[in-house]
Amino acid sequence: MKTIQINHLGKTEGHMSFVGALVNNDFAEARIETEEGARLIEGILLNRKFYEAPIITARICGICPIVHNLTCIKALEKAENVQVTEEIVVLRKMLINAQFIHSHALHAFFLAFPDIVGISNNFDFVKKYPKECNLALEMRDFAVELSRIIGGRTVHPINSVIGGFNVEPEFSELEKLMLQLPEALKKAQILFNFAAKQKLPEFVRPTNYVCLKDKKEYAIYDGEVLFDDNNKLITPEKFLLDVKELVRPYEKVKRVQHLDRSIMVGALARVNNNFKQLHKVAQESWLKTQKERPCYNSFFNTYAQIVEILHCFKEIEKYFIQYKKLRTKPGFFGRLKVEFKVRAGRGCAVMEAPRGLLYHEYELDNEGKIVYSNIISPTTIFLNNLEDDLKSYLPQIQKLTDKKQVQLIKTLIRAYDPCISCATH
Amino acid sequence: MERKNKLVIGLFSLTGCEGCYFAILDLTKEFIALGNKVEIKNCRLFEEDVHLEDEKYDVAFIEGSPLTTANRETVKRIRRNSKLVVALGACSCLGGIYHIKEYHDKAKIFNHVYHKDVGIENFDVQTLEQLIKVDHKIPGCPVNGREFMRFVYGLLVGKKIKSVQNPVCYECQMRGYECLLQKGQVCLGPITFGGCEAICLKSKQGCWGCRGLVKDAEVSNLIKKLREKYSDKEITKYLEVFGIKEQINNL
Repeated sequence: MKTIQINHLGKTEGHMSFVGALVNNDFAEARIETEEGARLIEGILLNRKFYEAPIITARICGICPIVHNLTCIKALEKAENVQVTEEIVVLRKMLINAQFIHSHALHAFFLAFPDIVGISNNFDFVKKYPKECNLALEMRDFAVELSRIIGGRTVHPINSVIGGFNVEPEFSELEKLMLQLPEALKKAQILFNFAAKQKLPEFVRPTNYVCLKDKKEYAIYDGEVLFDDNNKLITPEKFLLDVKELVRPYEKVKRVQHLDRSIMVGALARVNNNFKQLHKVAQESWLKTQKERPCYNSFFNTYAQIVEILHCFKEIEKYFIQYKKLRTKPGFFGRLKVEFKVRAGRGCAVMEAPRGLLYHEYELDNEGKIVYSNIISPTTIFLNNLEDDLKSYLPQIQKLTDKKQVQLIKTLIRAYDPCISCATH
Repeated sequence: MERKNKLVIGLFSLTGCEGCYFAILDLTKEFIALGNKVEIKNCRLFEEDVHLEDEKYDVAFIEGSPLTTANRETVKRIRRNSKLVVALGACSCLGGIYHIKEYHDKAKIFNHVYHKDVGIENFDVQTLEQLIKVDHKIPGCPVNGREFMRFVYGLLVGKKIKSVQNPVCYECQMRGYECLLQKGQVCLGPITFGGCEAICLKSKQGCWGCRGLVKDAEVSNLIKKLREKYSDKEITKYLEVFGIKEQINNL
């Protein structure tokens, strides 16, 4: 029996290793091992005051703190029956779209893309593709700057709280940044065309794509959960009826199954399920690389991310126009934060994180102390699907050299954009 | 100017969110420029090659909490092979938010997450200094990326930049932000080590002390002020979040 081991896989968020074994010509075992320590975030939230939670949970992940912060806030607002205003929702949507762009840009161009062109060190990558790298960084900077203006800081937002926003995002800064949006979008298009020229490995394995669905728009901030295998929509409250989180011996990361089977979340799941709601420019770009839908090739997750970058820029443009209008209405400043009285309650929320569905759930007592908490992150959800992909992929590449096999395994793992920090919160 | 012997910098991360590295990476162009001036090794987000910790480093930056046996061994090896070791961020300087575990029933917290004993390490949360000698600290959750840059560029001209011991209050007032303490909210600005540019106060979020105690902090004055409105139990909760309570207890 031939085994392949990759220790301390680089260029992923968090620490992990891979062990795989080809049992016979068409059957393989594959396992991802995580190397993060147990931080017990859900546990340390117990007996803490509710307002600590968005600050603490943001620290689950340094790359997507905004979506943890916002999902936590949404769940707590449900528990406390806080109805936020349209102004708050629009600002939050701009913030989450900015989060998508800078997380995707980092992953697609600096963690996954060097794999596609066969370069392992990014300082070499930067030297070989200086123009493209600069474009990617400049484009990403737009989103980093937008999250700073709205969230108060680039890593771990401050301004976004239960009930809305503490202070109005500096409007002059926002307006000035928005002038650069068309340019940033153009850069993203150039980068997509550059990326689309590369050839991705061939691989097909049908799976169950799961994401949020909203009748009105490409769902990120809100919606119901769609399972594409049976086209069933369920509310966030019912998400855990068929989806189970499993604890396995000696594993810090939990595993998620839907009716005992693995499911796929993330950019590819969203593009597959909600394609028609993407902005035109994003749809057209996707069609340049892939005609069929659903696309069952997980390597395409990276392309799906770049397509989402294009979409998110258009979304930000749309929301900013909306926001500008709302801002001129009387009483605007009073609508950036909603006051509420603390009560006992329970609430959960699902939001799309860059890597897929994110679930937060809390129960508070009548003093606002947290008595129950549960967080399920996208990497936890797709880890079993990734292993199933690897099991099916290993026999297909067994004839290649060992070096090439290792390279392709790394490429597939990284295409998923796994975040082990999130997974072992 | 190309230097013949570039300063070798190691960027290590233990268990944590890696947010401190993103705070530095988000300075994108400055970070790339730094990559041309010094040799950056072990930046996991930027390169695939695994550099064993046994290579030699002029400066090793360590971010995160030593929460696994492997983490603990790694830091000892890094210490042996580095001229300077810098603790980067609240996790390695103060223990980070995971430190909250120490104030509650540890077994209960563990069981809430994993439901049963599944053979997972559950160490006490320690600071880097409790395990190895630390030469310098760049605190914050996350760090202020520019403080990191200032420190590295200082080393390039042969200086070990010492951070000025001012409280967050000083930086807040200088920028004319509204005083939350005066408004009756909890803010640990008067006793917290500045350098963050009072970034939380800009968004009207009271300081919870993620950068640790400033030198000669007048803790009792602040507590006296807070007691006008808050019970000791409430005040303690705030002091616990980033672990400043531990420092106060050790005064």
